[in-house]
Amino acid sequence: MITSKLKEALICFRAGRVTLRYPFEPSVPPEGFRGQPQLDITKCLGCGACSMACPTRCIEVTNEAEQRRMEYCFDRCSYCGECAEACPEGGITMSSEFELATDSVTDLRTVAYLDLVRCESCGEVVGTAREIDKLAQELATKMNVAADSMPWLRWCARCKRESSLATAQVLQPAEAHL
Amino acid sequence: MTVWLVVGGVVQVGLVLLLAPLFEGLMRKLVRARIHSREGPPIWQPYYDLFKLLVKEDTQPAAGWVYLLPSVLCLASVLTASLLVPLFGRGILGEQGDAILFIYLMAASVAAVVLAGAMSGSPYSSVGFAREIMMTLTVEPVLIMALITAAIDAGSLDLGAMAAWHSAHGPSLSMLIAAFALLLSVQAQVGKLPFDVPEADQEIMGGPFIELSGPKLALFKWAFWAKQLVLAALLVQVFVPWPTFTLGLAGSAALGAALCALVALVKVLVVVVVVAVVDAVNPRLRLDQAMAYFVAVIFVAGIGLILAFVGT
Amino acid sequence: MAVAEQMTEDLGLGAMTFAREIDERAPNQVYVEVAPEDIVGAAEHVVQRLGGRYVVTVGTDDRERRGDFCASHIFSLEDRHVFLTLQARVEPYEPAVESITGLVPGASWAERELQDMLGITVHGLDDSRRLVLPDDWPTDVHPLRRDVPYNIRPEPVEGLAPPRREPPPGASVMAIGPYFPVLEEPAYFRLFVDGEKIVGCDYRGFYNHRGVEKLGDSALTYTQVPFIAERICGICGFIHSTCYCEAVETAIGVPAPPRAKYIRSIMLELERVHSHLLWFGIAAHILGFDTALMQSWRMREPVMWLCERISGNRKTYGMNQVGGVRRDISAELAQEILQVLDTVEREWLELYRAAQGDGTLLMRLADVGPITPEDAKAICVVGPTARGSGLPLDARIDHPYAAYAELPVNVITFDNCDSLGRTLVRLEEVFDSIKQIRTALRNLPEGAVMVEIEEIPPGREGICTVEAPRGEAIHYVLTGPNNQLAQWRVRAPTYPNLQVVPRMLQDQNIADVPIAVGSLDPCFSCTERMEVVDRRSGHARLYSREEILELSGPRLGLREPPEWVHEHNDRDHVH
Repeated sequence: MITSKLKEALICFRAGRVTLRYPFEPSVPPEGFRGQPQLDITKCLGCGACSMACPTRCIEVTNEAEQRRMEYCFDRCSYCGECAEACPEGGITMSSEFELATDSVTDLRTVAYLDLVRCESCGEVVGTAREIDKLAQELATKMNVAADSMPWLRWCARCKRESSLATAQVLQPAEAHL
Repeated sequence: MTVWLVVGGVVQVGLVLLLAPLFEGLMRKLVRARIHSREGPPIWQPYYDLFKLLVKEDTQPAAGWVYLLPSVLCLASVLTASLLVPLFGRGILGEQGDAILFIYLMAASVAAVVLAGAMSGSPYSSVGFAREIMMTLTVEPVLIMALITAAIDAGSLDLGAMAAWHSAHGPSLSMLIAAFALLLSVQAQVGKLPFDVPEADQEIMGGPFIELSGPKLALFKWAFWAKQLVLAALLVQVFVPWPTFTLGLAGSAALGAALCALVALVKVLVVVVVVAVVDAVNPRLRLDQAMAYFVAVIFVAGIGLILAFVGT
Repeated sequence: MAVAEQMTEDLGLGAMTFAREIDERAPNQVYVEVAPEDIVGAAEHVVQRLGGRYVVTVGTDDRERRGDFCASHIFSLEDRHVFLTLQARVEPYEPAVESITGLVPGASWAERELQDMLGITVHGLDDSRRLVLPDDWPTDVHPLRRDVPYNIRPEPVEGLAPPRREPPPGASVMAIGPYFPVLEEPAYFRLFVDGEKIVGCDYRGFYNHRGVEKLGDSALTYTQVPFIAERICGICGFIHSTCYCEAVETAIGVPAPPRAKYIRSIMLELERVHSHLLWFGIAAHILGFDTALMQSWRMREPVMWLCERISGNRKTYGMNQVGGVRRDISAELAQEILQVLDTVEREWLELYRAAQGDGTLLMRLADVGPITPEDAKAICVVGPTARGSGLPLDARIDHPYAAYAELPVNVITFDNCDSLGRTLVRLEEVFDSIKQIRTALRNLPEGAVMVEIEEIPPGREGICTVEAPRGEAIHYVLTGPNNQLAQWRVRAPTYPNLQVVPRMLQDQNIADVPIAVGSLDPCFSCTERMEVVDRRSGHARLYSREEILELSGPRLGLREPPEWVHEHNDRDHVH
């Protein structure tokens, strides 16, 4: 009994003081920590992949008349890093920032506006200008054509299909199984 | 003489009130936190706690001064008891009261806790004050028997006379046993682990104190901290009164008294540290286990008593 | 089919004349369909002749797909490493089944849940008060029926609170809860006490039911569920995400790569280590022994740091994904893990030895909260609660998952049948877990940590158990169309363990209640989760020209946009 208490005392005293005088001294997270996501809006294409991946719906994508509005509500963020993995441009990275307490929830929100491209024939949203430009450039390199020679890039999916169906023979359902 | 009594009394009560939270703060920071391997709160934290509670709104089930009674009674009886403890030869109220009064005052402080518990309708509180009564039944006899042992030794019920006799006659076996038994009971008297059964935060959420808030809670806390000091002082002054410097080193009575006070303070600190260490390294016992323990302590104290009769 | 036939023969299912259909839908997972009136007989056969241990009951609203409800009792046949599920198809208009509680008392909660959540009446329950639904929830709204929308907020109805049990004559009521200092989560035990002795007990819980199922209903895809799954519990999050991911992987027959499986095992064992250290601290705190709390948690801190180092977070690691894990363990990291484990092992050994001789501590644990092996079997308790009563149950052996088929797990049992036994099991398991992690790191296979899963076909079923620090956690999944689950049932280990409380507290002292309940390591959030993701099932069909036009290219074969896009009405869809 007494030896046991002495052993316990030994454990206690050998450890010394282990708590930090936080917040008077910093607490540094280890390498690879998933803290607040950092945005690099200059890289954002407005594709919304991050929004689709986000389990907590932090990232809201809405289309206005001429612009796409990307709202990053990191007050709801669960720091899973799915958005960073989903972003094709590497525009989101996980920082080591975790001291996010604030008086105003808007401090944790960022809104970005990106120019929209609407379908030249029906006015339906096609994508953001950055998305289309990027696509045009990649296609141009791959297909070895001029970037501005693909007007159909600025058509909506429905109009593209409409035009394809107009020229293609439509199979009846029964034939489709063959 | 009366004026001297009043001034001395006020000064001593003031000192007890001022020092009690300091001892608690020191124990929290230097003993408890150290054993917990953590930084710990500032030494002044108990003062902040008291101040916070004292200025807080006092919520109570019904209006009436009667609800304030237990907390005031508790603190008042402890402070009065402090005036009986022989610090310099004799307690300030040493003329007026003896060991019997001291025992009564200690019992009154326990009665105040029971009263506070009984005033609340909470079942936790009922369990708490029932436990407090049960604990007192086994803890109080230890104090009584220790003091009787000293009284037999000294042939007087006067606490000052006991101290004087012990300091004059040197250590005796009966006195050491009585001191040891008393030391074991201090833990329970001041509601420290492993004997804080009546409060048992994790079981009955503070027991008798569950519905107390603000100033009333502050007074109870203050009373318990002061009680720890008073009991520790009683223990060291009556049972372990050496070394004494009443004769003076260089013939100066004032220097002797100052040295006496310093030594007393150090001894009290040692007792308080022991209490704090025991508190930190034990889990809480169950009521039946705690009572069984104190029955054993009573037995030990009984041996001391018999030895005192025999004269060793 | 041959496998199913073999199993039929092996398991003696042929004797179950009432079986309508016997099917092995995933490896070692047999489903037996029976008529509702035969369910008790079938269960009796499974329990008494095959030695099945009841696990959980899953209710399914199958009205759209098959026109009925389904009540499935899942049993575990440990010696054969098989899950046997008895499925009773229940007619849709006045759905009712017979209770099996006469046979398996531990089925009580799951059957009450059937009544609450799906409106399937269970005949023969001795306690049929509502369990999960709040006191003011209307009786005719059953949240897990598919025609009940996820965002429903029915008008509160007065007077539906389940009646409280009356204390026996001469006893008074002492409440532990709904909020009680040492129960970190809400739970309401009404103890009937005579002096300090407990003569009875009534329980009301499920205050933590978060209705996550309906959130999943509208928004979550297979790859998003792991993040909510790991939030079922704040301590054993990785267990739930592993359990979910492996259940889905089992259902579709695509296992995670071996390296991912080993990493899962490593994380699971790290979680067991830090959970047991956490538990010991809490148990000590319940007894007022804060020094042991502080020291135990101090020793736990390096493990938390490790988890943060490996996954990027102390808790809610975000590591698991259907098909593997999202982060690898590098060689340097493996070295760091081994170093930290050496320290933890050394320190824990010191504490273990000190605790073994600590008389006051042992006094408060021995003979407290007794659970006889018979009670343990009747209530079907799991984990250290079962092992502390001498039952050698361990999902890592019984139904291997992650890399446990290749890791030599040592099942630690004690015959004390009290809080002390359960404590000792946990104290020793820490050492075994450390050993497992070392072995796993040494044998860590090379290769990818994630397998690409193209498409998850609908209508597949899968069960997975994971031995959580508290006992076996079970996830049942039924896949649905559109990249979403059709059904997800989670049973946390505390679910059966908590049901033993009334038996455990009988004739105990009030002072022992917190530690007795604490010795189960109860996790109320886990227990009260009830994430069941339902998804409207679509049938195969032909598209008209208009519909082909409606479906823009990227959407074909991919998931639908999250429903919240529609919720923010009047806004255009993305994709």
